[in-house]
Amino acid sequence: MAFTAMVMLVACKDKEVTPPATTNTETSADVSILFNNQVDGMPLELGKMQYTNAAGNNYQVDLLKYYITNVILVKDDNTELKLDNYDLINAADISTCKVDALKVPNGTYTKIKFKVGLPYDRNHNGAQDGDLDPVMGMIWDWNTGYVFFKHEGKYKNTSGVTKSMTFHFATDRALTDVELPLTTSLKVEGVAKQLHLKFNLNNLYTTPTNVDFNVDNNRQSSSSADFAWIDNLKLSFSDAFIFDKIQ
Amino acid sequence: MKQLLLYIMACISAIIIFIGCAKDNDLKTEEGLTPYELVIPPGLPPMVIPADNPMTVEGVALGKQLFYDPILSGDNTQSCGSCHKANFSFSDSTIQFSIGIDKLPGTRNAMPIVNLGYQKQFFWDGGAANLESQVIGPIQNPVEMHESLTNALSELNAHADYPALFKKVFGGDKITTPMVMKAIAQFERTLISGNSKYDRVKQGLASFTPQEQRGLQWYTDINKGDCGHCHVIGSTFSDFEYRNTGLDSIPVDKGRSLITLNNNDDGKFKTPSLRNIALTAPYMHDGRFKTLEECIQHYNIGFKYAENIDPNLGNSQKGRMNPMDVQDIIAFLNTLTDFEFVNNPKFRE
Repeated sequence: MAFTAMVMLVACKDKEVTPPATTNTETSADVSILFNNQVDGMPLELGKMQYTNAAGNNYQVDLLKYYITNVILVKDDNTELKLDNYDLINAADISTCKVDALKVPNGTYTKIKFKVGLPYDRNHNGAQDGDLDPVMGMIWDWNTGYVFFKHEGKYKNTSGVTKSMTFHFATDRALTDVELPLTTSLKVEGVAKQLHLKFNLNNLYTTPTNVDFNVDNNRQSSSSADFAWIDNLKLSFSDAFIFDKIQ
Repeated sequence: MKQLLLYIMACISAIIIFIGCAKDNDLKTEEGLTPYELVIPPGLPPMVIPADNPMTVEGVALGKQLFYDPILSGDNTQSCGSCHKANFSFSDSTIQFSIGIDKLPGTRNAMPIVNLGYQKQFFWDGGAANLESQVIGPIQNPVEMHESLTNALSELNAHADYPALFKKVFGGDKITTPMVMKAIAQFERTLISGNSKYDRVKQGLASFTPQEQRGLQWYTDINKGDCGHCHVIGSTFSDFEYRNTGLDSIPVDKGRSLITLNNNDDGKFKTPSLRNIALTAPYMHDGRFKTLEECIQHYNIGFKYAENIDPNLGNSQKGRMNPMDVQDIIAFLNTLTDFEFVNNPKFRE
């Protein structure tokens, strides 16, 4: 019981999100972290058979959604600004492809950290609002837990026949930490900024060797046979997210 | 020694009371709502209510309305109550597999809804992490109510009464999925059964017949029924753990391992409560046994030596009970039926 109380207390603290009490716009500014989905430099367009993966498979993306959570902006003095965010990025809707960091205190930020997926407590409760509402279509109703990353679409097999493919990256094992240095540091000086990150889908399918969609085209994280695939994808996310620019 | 024990117990009680108070303060409800006071029968422990879903009279009433409203199914023909009927302790009549809106059968026997507030996980395989999360399973399942959440929400939001009812209970301008989940869970937590003959005997208000008394003895006797290892005697009559009970040498339905992705859990299912068990035939996760006699004879002689069979069963001697012992146990199990519960108008449509 006491533990529950502590957990509740911590949860309440987390909800207070980011900054110190100041609302002075001169000492802080809003930062938008934008996720630009793409495939080897081509903007991601759904429903078009126009991409080629590292294994040489021709493919199209019909659905691309993933959770970016617990974003941390790291200052040059190594202090951390933690956002208690749970954002679903949906490539079909550009307005969702960002995380808003409100009233970020002035300073120089040199690193961004975030998770792909949901931490344990958030992952095993369906009755949550906003981007975690089950209506977003990202939670399993037979085994309470969210799908952290979904890529669904089609590929052309070796005979040129169009086949469907489904990648659902899920279970606690799949929770992935990403850490990116900001090669141009983010200087917050009281004016709103945009931090642009690229998400290159092709980079997900290169570990440990190039994934051939003819062989691997249906992974739903629903059996132990998918563990190795999950582990490989976890490693690949660090390559798929790339710092782009500050605006 | 006795004094020390008493002292410790007093301390523990004090702590529990203290925490209870603190908790009440935390369980803030929306303005103008009446907290729902759960009445826990003497034989059952206090029920822990999740902090993010405090029970209110209005929330429980809304949950009940939703439970019995076919609006949550794809063609608006089936409600939760269609397959969870009061007369059968909120299981589905004597049918093996419930039939969904598309006339398709499920693959597991509909579970009774009784004392759910004491369980940690839901479904036969424990796939739902809490009672709230369980709600969306049957709604979306293609062989059950087969409805999309998007569609269910738009129907609820367009309804003449629901928007105001939800707003009163949960606030906000639109009905969302977690509100539906929470309301139904609130109602389900009120479905408490603890007034069977067994309970009245425990309270000194009734007495067992000699046969029922013998049945109770075989129930706990590890060389006879040995029911109590899993269906722990009293309270909820289950430890709610997952076990392979030797239904098949190689499980047809993988059960718990579908959730844990661990092969050791193949063919394991949750130990069901035995309260109202006489009303919930057929039995087992797949409803393969029509009668309690078939059930008990499975544990007596029928069980198969699956690789991960529960050791208490696997090591027991086949044929350890004679037919009279089995009848005695059935007589005892019949004392677990709570007629006040199944007839309670507060629970019925």
